[in-house]
Amino acid sequence: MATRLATVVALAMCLLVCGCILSPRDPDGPPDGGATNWETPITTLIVLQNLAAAMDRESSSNYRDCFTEDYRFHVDPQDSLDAGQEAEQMFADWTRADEEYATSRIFVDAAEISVAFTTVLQPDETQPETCRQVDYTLAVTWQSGPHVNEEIIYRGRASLWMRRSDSGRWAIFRWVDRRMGGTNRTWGALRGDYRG
Amino acid sequence: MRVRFPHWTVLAAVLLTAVAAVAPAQEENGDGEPEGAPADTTAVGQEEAPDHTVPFRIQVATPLRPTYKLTYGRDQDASSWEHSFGFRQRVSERISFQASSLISVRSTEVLSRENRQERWSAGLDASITSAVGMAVRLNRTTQSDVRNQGSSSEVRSFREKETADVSTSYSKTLLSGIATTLNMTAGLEKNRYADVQSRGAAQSIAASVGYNPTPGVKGSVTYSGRHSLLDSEQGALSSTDESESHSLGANVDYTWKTSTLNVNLARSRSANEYPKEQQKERREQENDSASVKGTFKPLPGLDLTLGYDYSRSGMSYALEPSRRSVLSSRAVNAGVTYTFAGVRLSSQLASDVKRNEYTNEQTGNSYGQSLVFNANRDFGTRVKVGFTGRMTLYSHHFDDTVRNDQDRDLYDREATLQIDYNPRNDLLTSLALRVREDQLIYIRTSRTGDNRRAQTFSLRPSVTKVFSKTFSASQRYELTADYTLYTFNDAKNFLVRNLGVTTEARWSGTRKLDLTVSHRYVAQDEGSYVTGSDGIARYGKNSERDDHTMKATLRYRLFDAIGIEASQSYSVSQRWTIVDGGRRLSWERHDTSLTGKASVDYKLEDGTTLKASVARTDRDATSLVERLRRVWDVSLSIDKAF
Repeated sequence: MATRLATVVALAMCLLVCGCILSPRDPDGPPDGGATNWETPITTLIVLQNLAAAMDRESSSNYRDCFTEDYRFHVDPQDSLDAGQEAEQMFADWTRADEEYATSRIFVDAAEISVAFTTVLQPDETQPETCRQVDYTLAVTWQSGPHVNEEIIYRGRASLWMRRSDSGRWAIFRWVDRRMGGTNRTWGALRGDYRG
Repeated sequence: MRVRFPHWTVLAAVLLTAVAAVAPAQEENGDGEPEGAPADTTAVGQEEAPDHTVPFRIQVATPLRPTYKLTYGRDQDASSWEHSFGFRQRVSERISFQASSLISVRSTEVLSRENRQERWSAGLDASITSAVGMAVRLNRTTQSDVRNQGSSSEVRSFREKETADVSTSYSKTLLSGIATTLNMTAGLEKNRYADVQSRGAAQSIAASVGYNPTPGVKGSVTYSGRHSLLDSEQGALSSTDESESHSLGANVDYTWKTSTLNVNLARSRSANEYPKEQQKERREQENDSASVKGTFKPLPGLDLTLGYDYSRSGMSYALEPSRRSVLSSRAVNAGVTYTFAGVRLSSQLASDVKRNEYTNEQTGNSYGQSLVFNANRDFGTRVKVGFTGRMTLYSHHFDDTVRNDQDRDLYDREATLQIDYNPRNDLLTSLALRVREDQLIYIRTSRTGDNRRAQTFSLRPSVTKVFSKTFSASQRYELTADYTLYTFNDAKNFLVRNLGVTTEARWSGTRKLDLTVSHRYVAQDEGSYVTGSDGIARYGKNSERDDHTMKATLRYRLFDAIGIEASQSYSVSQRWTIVDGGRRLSWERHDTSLTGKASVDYKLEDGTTLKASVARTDRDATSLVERLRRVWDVSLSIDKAF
């Protein structure tokens, strides 16, 4: 019995020590720049506004917070077919980590980003899961890469499947990307370029 | 076009077959399937990629038994057809023939698109001896996606792959505890995609040696390699592309009494050449990994696990050197499970360090640490109590903090208490209490304006009363408060509060009849949560929202074969803004729907199955587009074995 008790106490001590290891860093200080216009996403529209604001301010964490942990991205089939031998590296099993990573790399190469959404299909926010279908226009002015100092427009239609959390926050759990008419590339194809 | 056929592979395959044919073998070689199946041409990453698995698995000795499967589905946006057919026929004692096809078509009228995939396969399998097999395979896979078919704005993408392979396999287990397997494949390959055409030869080899000298010790070494030489054309480019891959792995399992130790080592290297924008691209990849895992039971009831993982992967592109990356990771993890005084305790600790090297300012380190703790205790048969605590810290450190100001920590903590109490057999209650905090900490002052904490408190009691064998009712409550608290800008602090009540009654009149009625009410309000000059945080409500949803569902089983379901729902949502302390209606939405559904799931004595369902929904809702007001949803699947 004494051995068991000693073991439990030792385990508890280990846990306490481990808990002490998990302490985050202190920030350098109060902000000397502006903040992203991020709002608590209590509607699906606010999710889009947060997404656009995070792209505009190039904020990786605010962008990441627009997606659920089990998020999946589904590229347009033609974008996938046209990627040929690199389709696997570019689009297979796209998760939230891929989304954050690819977008962070876009932020590095982009000088200026703006995105506009036009809702095609209204969501039903009385349901725990709903689809908001939008046409997007993403404008990126590049500071490095093959289009330096050029503004490139990316267009497409996205079916954004969103889920409401227990506390009332909405986030995207599935993004189905589709090409629109015209010669513009999609946001999905751009993401693939920056995945790996 | 030049095709270089691999003389060494064919010679080796013939020699191996000849030698193995006269050698006695002690063990049957599994099902004799050759390895090195051709790569799938399904568009990678697209939605709902269909499963190309051949829908049959018949052994060589069975008589001819073709199977045909037809699947059809239709809703208001898209229709899809899928046909698959396959059979396997024994030609002689040692030879069998197999063939299969799969055609899948999906048309999306709203987007004017058609996606079509085809897969054809045929082959001969020969069992030379009980240890040696040979096979010949022909495969053809195509995929096309067409937008605006037949119009001037038609856009077509496609991919096509054809392969012809000869393969041989050898498997033998010796009494000394050594098991060997060897698979070799050589064949021709032809590809077409986008504006690229290629054709040539490919060879692959896979071998493994396993050693089991004494009970408790197992080891194996595996190798697989592939080589291909393709003549490719893309516009003005004409090139010979050589690709190869090699992977080597080793595994040791050691068991001593109740303790185990597992060691895995792996190394792989590949180089792929292919045309890209009329130039030859070469992608090189290297991966190394090692892992050690041990489980121990030092005391009765005490289980310990310890693990260490290392991995390193590098990738580079000849045409785009800026895409080069080297990622390495070291991770340790430990877990403990212990039962003490009726309490089941378990805890897991994990820590990892990753080094991410790119050609730009994304280069840096990331650190992850997590701790999970669980405790569960049953008090008799009527009370169960569980507690879970979790802490996770992710830390991103970039090398160039001047050009990359996104250094940040993500710190999550969560505690959950769950109590289930059943005072009587006909009365079930539960209570869940959860507290969670997610913290975002940017380090550089150019970003700290976004630093914030999200705190969530939730309480969920529920009760279920069983009145009789045919009737039961339940009620579930949800109360949550969700705070967003900014570190340096508390004027933006925000609070969302929710109250949800779900009431449900279920009546099962007979074995075939079932009725469920439910009502859900959700009230939500939100507003600023700002600390005043007196240091007290006050809640200023900005808006309120109420949702009511009623639903009734009736299910009936007709003739023990057809399921009939009718459901009706009605919901109303209202939102108010708070102006001068009073409520002003912002909007009101109604949604009513009536759904009828019939489904059948039937199986004949010969194994043929039929599944079909037809559903019709009539819906009327505020701002609902016309095409979603009357919706058919039809699906049919026939699986016929001849």
